[in-house]
Amino acid sequence: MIELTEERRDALTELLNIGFGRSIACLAEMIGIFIRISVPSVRLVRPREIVDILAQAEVDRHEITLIQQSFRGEFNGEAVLALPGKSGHTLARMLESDCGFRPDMEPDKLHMEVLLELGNIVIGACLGKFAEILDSLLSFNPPQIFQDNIRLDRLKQAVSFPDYGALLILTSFRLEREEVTGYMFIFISSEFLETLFTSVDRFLDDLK
Amino acid sequence: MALSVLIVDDSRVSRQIVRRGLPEWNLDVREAAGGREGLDMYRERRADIVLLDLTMPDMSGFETLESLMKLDPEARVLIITADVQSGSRERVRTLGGLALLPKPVQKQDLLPFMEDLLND
Amino acid sequence: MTAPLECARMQPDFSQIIQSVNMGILVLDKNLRIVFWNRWMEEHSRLRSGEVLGRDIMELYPNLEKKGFRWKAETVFKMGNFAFFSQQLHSHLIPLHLARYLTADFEQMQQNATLSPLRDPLGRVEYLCVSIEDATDSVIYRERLESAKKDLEVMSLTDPLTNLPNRRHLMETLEREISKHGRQKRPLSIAILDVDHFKNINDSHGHMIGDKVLAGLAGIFPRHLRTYDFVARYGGEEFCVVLVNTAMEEALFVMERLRAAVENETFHHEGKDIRLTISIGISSNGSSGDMSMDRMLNSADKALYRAKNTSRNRCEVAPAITPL
Repeated sequence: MIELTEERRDALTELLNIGFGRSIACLAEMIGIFIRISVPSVRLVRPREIVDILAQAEVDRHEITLIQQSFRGEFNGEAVLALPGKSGHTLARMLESDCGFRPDMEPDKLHMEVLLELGNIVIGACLGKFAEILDSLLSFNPPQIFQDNIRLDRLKQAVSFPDYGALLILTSFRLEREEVTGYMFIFISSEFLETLFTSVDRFLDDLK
Repeated sequence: MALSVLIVDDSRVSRQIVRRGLPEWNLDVREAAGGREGLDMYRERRADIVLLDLTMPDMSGFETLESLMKLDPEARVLIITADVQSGSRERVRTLGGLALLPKPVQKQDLLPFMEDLLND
Repeated sequence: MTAPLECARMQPDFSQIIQSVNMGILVLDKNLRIVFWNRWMEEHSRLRSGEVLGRDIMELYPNLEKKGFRWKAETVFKMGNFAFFSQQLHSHLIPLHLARYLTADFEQMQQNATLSPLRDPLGRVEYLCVSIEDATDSVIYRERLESAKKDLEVMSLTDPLTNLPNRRHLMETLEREISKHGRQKRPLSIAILDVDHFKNINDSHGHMIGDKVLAGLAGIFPRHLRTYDFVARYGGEEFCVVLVNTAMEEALFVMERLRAAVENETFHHEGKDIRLTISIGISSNGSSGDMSMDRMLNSADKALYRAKNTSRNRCEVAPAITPL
């Protein structure tokens, strides 16, 4: 039965909270700064709505960088790390200087590589932990920079989102001393919701 | 007299997971769905140990911890959270919390703290 | 016995699969020493499995140091994530020769590489699997596609960077408007504008940002020109505006307004705030309306030159031309 019951929503929120906590701990360790995390919100949406949700989250005043990564396994989907305004650039700079990831590349390429690696690690840590708790394993595709510094209204026009229903998980973080915020969206295709919910139900049963 | 435990977490599923991590002793377990509710319950009747989440809407775990320690400087508060940054660990210690345990909490992690309670 | 059951009983020899697959597969332990090297790797590296087992891969291929391989491998061992080296950013992970003799587009194999965790029964990451895919063909096709696209662009009417009409479109439009305005004896003006010190922007911020700035600039034109003004990309950092039914005085007013707006605009790209100015040269078809396209462009160009040679960030008009 594909219904996002209150219990399932609670469980998903909690499990993704744990996954995201690990992402942030990784990031915090790499750049040595304390990061504030928000409670994740979980709902069933159409991917097209991501732009409206981003607008509500008040990022529409800035340009935005999106780092996307698909995953597959027991359930398939894609995750997007959204970095508004200068956040992407600031984080990339911090990663380069603070954790010794400095391959010998031209500045343009290095910037892209660092952003991709950032997305790869944050998304990988979150979903990896999430899958681990549900006793399953996920494989990941290479991350891609979806749009680099594009204004939100242009994003609506430029991107054609497929119209399948999806489970949308939204969570955000903010760096304490810098003007850096980020949002992570995880879409899980509706075809896989049944399998996912079965896993979640199994997890819930073990608690009783 | 049964040891009293107060679990404070906005997620019901999370509270269940914590409950499952407790030893199978005769315990008096109460649950609060938020910081304010937790403080009210503690004020009403002191708990031997408080198991507190960090990421909660309304009143955060840090604020709740601070208020609890003000209310009762002898309070024993254990943070059980998804937020496992070293910065959070330090903050918990500074505010007077016992320790920070990562979610999902395991029986073997919780046991030493519960056993400590018996030694009082 | 049903077919699926039969198939389930036949277990293929998995080691043969790994050896015969068309991709490089090598496995490293926590010290980055090679514990497995498949046949594809043997063939392309010209090193036998026996020669490399137990060796430190960083020693075998020192270029890996410059690629940040060690850092990414560490994240896989520590956090169990996947890691990637894309051809577009890295060209290749391990320098291997192409086993190709008929096409000599690349000397070295272009590769996409993936690092994945291999876990023990308790779920801990024990080994690192590196899989290497030969992407040379895709790259060749992609480059051919890019070149075909470029040919197509030359035939099309839109400049891909700025989405403005391209030079060809400008010329066709200008030709048309000049003859129309000439016949109807109506005033027509053109303005050529050029970004000041554009070379500095490219030098300080890189060409990618330079391009974005041009696109950004093109993006703000509509805001400060009239709806019926036609603006096209004329050259590298040059644009041309065709102002129909517009005499010199009004053209100057419109272009001066644009110049001021550009001066006050800040362009944001990759965390940098970039300001710029433009110089503008304006010419008109005169009261008799019988200027040719070459003469109009020429005199606007001369006016632009004067603008650049005085203070820049200014509009200059061509002197009134008396009919021949």
